[in-house]
Amino acid sequence: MMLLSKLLSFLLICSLVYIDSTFAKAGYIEVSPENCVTVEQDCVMDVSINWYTEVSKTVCIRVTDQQIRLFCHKPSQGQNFAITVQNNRNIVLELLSEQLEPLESTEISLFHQHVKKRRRDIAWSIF
Amino acid sequence: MTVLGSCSLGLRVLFLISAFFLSPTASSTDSAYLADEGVSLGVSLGYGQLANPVYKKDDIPLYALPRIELFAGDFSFANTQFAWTPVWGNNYQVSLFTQLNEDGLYFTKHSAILAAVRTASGRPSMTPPPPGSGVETPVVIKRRGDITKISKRKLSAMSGIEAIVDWQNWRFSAYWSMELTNYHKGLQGALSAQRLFLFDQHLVLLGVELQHLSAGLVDYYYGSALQEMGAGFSPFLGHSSQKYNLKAGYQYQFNQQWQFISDIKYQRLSSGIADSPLINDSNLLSFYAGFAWNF
Repeated sequence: MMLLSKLLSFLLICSLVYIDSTFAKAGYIEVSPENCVTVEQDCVMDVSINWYTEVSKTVCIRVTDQQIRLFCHKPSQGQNFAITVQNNRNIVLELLSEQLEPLESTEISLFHQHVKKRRRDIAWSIF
Repeated sequence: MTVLGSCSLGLRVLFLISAFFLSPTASSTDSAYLADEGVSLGVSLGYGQLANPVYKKDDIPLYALPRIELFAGDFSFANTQFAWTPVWGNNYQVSLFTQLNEDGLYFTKHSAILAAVRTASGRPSMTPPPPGSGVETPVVIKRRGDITKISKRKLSAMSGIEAIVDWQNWRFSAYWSMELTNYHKGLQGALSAQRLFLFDQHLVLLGVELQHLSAGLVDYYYGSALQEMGAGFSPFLGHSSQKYNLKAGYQYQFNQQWQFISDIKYQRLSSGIADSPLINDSNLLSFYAGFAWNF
């Protein structure tokens, strides 16, 4: 039982190292800004995307916000690609190869700011 | 000594006035007037009473108070008050609101039962003073009858517009409302000013309010017509009237959930209401003190 447990741990570590090294080679995708703070239900904002990969000569960028959008035939390196995003939860951006294999991904984190509302009277005002 | 004494008193008064009007408080006053989005629930247990000016009707006791509030976007619900605030800014807001009319509460079944249980009223006698005693003022002679035989007064709902302006630690508000329930087609308006003091966990609120009630509203609740005359009351036609209110409140926040709350209100009814034979007292003192639990 102990031996099996050690073996499983070793395999897990190996697989993590393998995954890490694979993605390290894939390149990167960055988005700016990375956070969206909104008082509304949906976050709506203009973002700028940078990416780089050695895996593929042309790439696609998949944006998952309210819908799934695919921007293809992009060069392997790109800067300041501007789009508008809108969603009520985190927004995922993925760098894909020509064959639509995922290479890298990043997220725009969405934070809802709780708005304070003005009261007609203070709480527990009785008369 | 007298001069020094009077100077000292004058200075003290000056300091008090300047503190009242000018001093910034240690913490932000605004927070007491702000609420989080969503539902807020609470319950308070304590003791108090809403003074009832109506003849042979007991003051309405207050032992437990609920707090049911909902703030969602521009809409809010606070116990029985519903409001929509389409216009708002940093220090002002304009709302459309609906709330129950206070005068209808005096005639509800609950207070009627209490009045029936009560055997003797502790209120001063309405017998006019003998001629020559005290200052000569026009005497309104009221003839009283059986309060249980007067026509039914229903609890009405009012709807209107309210404007609020916050300036430093002051709040100024004005509202105008008309009846929704179509019992008396009355109108009611008010002007008020409040001053809030916040010191650590202590909150003190002082306020003045002038309310105006239209003739229709006053006549519906306090008028005496055929049925009231049949019950033994002298005739009375309600006129547009005023209520003058002085309010004070104190709250202490123990923690997020627990707080001590207290409120006191002195109300004076103008002669348009006070002269009604249904009215027993034109100076009313309502109060409540208790502990509140916020869920």
